[in-house]
Amino acid sequence: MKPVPLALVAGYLLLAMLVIALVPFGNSGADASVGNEPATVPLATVERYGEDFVAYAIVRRTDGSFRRMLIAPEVLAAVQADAPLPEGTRILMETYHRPDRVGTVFHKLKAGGRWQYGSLSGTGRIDLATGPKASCLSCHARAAETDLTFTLPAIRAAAAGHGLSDFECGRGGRSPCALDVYRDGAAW
Amino acid sequence: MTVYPVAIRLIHWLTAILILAQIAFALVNAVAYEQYPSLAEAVVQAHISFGALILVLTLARIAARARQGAPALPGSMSRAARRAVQLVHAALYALLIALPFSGYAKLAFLDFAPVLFGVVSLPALPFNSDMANAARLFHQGAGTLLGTLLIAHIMAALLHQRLFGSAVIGRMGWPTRPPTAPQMPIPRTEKRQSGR
Repeated sequence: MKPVPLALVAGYLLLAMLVIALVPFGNSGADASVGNEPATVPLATVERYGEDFVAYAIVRRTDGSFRRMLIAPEVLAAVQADAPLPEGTRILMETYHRPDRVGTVFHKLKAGGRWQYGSLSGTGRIDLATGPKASCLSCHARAAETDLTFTLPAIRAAAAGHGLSDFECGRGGRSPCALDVYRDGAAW
Repeated sequence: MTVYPVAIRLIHWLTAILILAQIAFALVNAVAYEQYPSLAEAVVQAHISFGALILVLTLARIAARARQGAPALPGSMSRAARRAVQLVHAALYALLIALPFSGYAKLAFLDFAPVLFGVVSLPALPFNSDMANAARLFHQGAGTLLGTLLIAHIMAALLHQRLFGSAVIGRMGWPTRPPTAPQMPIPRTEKRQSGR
């Protein structure tokens, strides 16, 4: 009888281990999720620059950074399903690269039916005066179907009483997430 | 004619510099917009202005080329290679025209009126976010295609110059000596005679 080469045996073992690793054991994972609706995280009201805002979404990045989205409560109360955001809508986007330290705060305002953009530093100093900004618009153009607002599904979910939307964005760095992330991940 | 007319050569290298600057502006915007929003806005404004300049230069180049012609391609190039050169050049011109227009449309359909170099104001277009998004997608795809074709263009020129000995790069250069007639390969027998 010819001896079986060791490398061949090792190869078969490796293949078997790969197959075992890739095949799920039964369907216990699927069973565990049945009927377990994610608990609604209540919306928190925070004070920023002397005004109240409602935190309606968090967008987490793979590098540990995250963004917190805030909207004026009176706007949230006026949001209607399947309608563009109302005139005067103000949205703040706080950026965090450390959990305890806010970085740039982006500001978005709807005036005359058009979006204007600006930004503040973490200390509240105006960095970019609010107005039509090419750098902001060129990116937000991809959110054409959601009123140029990536997190519109989360705003609508919050307005409908579904609480905070907690998004996981698979893209690292600062590139915008795909629209699907916001559409499918909102707290409905 | 062994080299392109001086106007075309100047436009060629100026366009190359501007395209490199455009890529740098896009990268700076992507990296810096969160930490330095004012810088990001400035580089995007520069990107818009430089794009318009590239459009003007490209139209001027096409006009100059139509009027002044181009030096013949090296005789050693195959017919397929010549056809490929013509196609790539035509595609590059088309993209250098389409990219500024699509970039303008992307913003103008969002009711944004770009101002070139802080002086020339372009009109906004009637608000249409779907058209703006379509223009954005086109701009992105055309930019990727332009980058790919530019790499192919540079690699082909280097390959022809280094591997096949065709003096294609010199057609866009500045000869240090007055241009002479293209060198013909010396037959082996003549080489031996001259060596004696």
